[in-house]
Amino acid sequence: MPLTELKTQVLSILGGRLRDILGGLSAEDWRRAEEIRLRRGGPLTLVCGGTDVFVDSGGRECEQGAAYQVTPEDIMRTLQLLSQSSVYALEEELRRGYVTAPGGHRVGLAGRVVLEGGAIRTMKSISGLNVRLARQVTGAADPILPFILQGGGPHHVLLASRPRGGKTTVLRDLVRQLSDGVPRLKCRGRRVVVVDERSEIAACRDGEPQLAVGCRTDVLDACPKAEGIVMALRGLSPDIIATDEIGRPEDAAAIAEVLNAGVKVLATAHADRRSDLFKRPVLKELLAEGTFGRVVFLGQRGSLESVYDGEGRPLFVRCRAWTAAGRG
Amino acid sequence: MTAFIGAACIIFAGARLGAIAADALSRRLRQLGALQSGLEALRTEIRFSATPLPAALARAAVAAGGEIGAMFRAWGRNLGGASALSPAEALAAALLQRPAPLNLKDEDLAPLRDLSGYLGASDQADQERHLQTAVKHLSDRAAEAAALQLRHGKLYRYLGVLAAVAIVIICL
Repeated sequence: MPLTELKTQVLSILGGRLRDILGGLSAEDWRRAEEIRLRRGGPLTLVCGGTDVFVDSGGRECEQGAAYQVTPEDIMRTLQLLSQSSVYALEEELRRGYVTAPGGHRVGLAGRVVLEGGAIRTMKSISGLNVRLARQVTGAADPILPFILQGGGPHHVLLASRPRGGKTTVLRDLVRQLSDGVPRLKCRGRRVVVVDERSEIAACRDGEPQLAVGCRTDVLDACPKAEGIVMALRGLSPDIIATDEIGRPEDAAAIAEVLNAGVKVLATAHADRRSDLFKRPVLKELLAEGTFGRVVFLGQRGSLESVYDGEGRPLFVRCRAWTAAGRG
Repeated sequence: MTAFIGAACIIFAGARLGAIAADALSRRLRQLGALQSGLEALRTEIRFSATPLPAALARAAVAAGGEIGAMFRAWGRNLGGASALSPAEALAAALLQRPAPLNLKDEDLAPLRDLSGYLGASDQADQERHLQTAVKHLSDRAAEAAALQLRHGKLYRYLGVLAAVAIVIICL
C-alpha cells in the first residue's frame, strides 16, 4: 500500500486536532508507525518497531512530558468519524472491542464494558483507541510457498509464531497467491474460503475485503471458526479453507470435517517453538495425527524460521536472508 | 375607470395577502407532517437495519419529501465524508444553509434539535426511545397547528378581502 494512501486513510478517521498533528508527521515516521495510541488525557503515542514514540502538538517526536495530551474531544470526534456518527451501527463491533476502518486498519477500543447475563453487551465511555495500521506485505509468503506446494497443490498448513510475529500477514499473502495461482510453481488458482472470525485476514468493512485476498476467495467475515468452516464446506465448495488462530476443541472437530471432505486447511496458532504446540491439547492431538503436512514457524515480523513435515521432520531451519515488515 | 381598476387591484392584493397568510398555516401543518414521516423513516432505518446516519438521513429525506426532505438531505450531507461534525452541529448547519424555505416556528424545530443531541450516540433501543419522543412532540405541535389552521385559515382569507374592501371604501 503506498504511503500516501495509508496516510490519507488513517487521517480520515482521526478527529479533533489529531488530523492536523499527525498530518505533520514525516514520511519516515509514517513508514515506521505500526500503531497510533490515543488515551484520554494521555500522551499522543506512535508505536514504531515495538517502541513508544511520543508526538508533540507540532507533529514532532518528543519526550513524554512534552507530548500532545489527547483530549476527550479528540476521542469523541474520532469515534464519530469511525462510526459515521452512528454508534448504534457498531453494536457488534463494540461487543468485539474493535472496529475495522476503511483500508483494513483496526481500531481497538478501551472503555467501560457493559455485561448482560454474564456476556458482553456493549462498551461505553470509550476512553482509549488503538489504531493498528494495516500493511499488506505482497510476497510475504514467497519463501514458504515452495515448502507447502506438492504436485501443484498445497499441504494442510499450520503457521505458528509468537504474537505479532507476522502470522496473519503471511497467511493473507498465502491465501492471495493460492487464490490467484502461482504460475512459477505450476500452481493453478484455487477456490479459497477465509473464515475470518476477527476480521484480521481480509479486514472486511461492510462485507468487502479491504486487503487483497485473491480473485477466487470468499470471506466469511466475523464468523466463528468452527461454524464458518462447516458453512464454507456446505455452501461454498472450497478447495482451501483458511482461518486464524485455532485452538478450541470445536475448531479441531471442524477441521476433521474438512479433512474428510478433501479440502485443504491453512491455519495459524500462537507458538514460539514446536514444543509449545504440544502443550495445547487440541493442537497436540492434530499434530500427533499428522494432520498438518507442513508446520511453519515464523520468527520476527514474518521471517521464516523453520518448516516441519507432518511427522515432525525438519525440512528447513532458520533463514535469516529474508524479512518482511508485517504483523500477525 | 382608473378608480375602478385601482379598487380591483387593492381587493386582489388584499385577497392575495389573506391567502398567503392562510397558506402559511397549512404549509406549516404539512411540514410538521413531513417531519414526522422523516423521523419515522429514520427510526425504521436505525431500528431494523442499523443504517449509518448519513445514509439513513438520505432515506428519511425521500420519505419526507419537499422542503423537509431537502433539510434532511442537507443534514445527512453535512454528516458524511471527512467532516467530523456531530449530528447536532450538522443539523444546525443544515438549518443555516436553508436548502428550502421552511414555514416552521422555532419551537416546531425544538424536538428535532433536542433529538440531534442524542442521535447516533447510543444503542438502537435508546435511539428508538429518543426518536419516539421527538415524533410524539412533533405530533403535539401538529395537532396544535391543525387547530390553528382550522380556526384562522378561513379567517385570514376573509380578512384579506374585507380589509381591502374597507380600504377601497375609505379611498372612494
